[in-house]
Amino acid sequence: MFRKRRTTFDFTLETSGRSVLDDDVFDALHEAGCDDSLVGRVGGVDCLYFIREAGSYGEAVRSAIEDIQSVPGMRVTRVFNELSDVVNDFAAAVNEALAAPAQCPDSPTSEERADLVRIWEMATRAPSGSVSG
Amino acid sequence: MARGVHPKKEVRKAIKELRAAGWTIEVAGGGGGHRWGTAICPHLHPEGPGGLSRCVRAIRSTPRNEGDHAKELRCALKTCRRKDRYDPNEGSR
Repeated sequence: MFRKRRTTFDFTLETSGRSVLDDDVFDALHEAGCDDSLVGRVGGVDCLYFIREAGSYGEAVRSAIEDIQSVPGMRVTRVFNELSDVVNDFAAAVNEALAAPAQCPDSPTSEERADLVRIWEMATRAPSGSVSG
Repeated sequence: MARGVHPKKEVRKAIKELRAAGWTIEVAGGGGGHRWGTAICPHLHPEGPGGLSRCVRAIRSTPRNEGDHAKELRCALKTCRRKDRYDPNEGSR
């Protein structure tokens, strides 16, 4: 029997807004679909390290940002590699898009364009819900 | 299963490695949330925005994939061994 190979992508998303270590926020993130991440605080900065199954790196990062920002008061500010200071071209474009410039940055590949535009659209919107706690 | 013992075998192994590396494992109170416990790094981070701080990771009771969660915890160990981000001597003070 043919079994499809599982493809996973790992990356870390830095967040701002509410503390990811508060029990209610931790549980809300888990139920929003972030149960494939390791939530933590490193150097005083909140982050979620994902190992996410997806069809592409762009889809993995975009869907993780959507999951986090579906929790009121949560915002993603940066994508980076847990073990390296070097980020790939798509992650660099995502970081540009997360800064909410007037126009969506260029995508390194046409396949990832739709994911990048979606991330930019989310970044240009006001954070969902009110920030408290 | 006894409190203090993670229900997933792969995660249990990773927690054992964290403990061996000096991390403190605090088990959650069992209030029904998704957090099984908290892992606290033995080293102080020299560059946190609030001054020196220890990095913290939350361990899930029901991760989507137990093998991946174990990998994530082992990656946290590697991250904290990076000398450009963490001073290993800070933990012994």
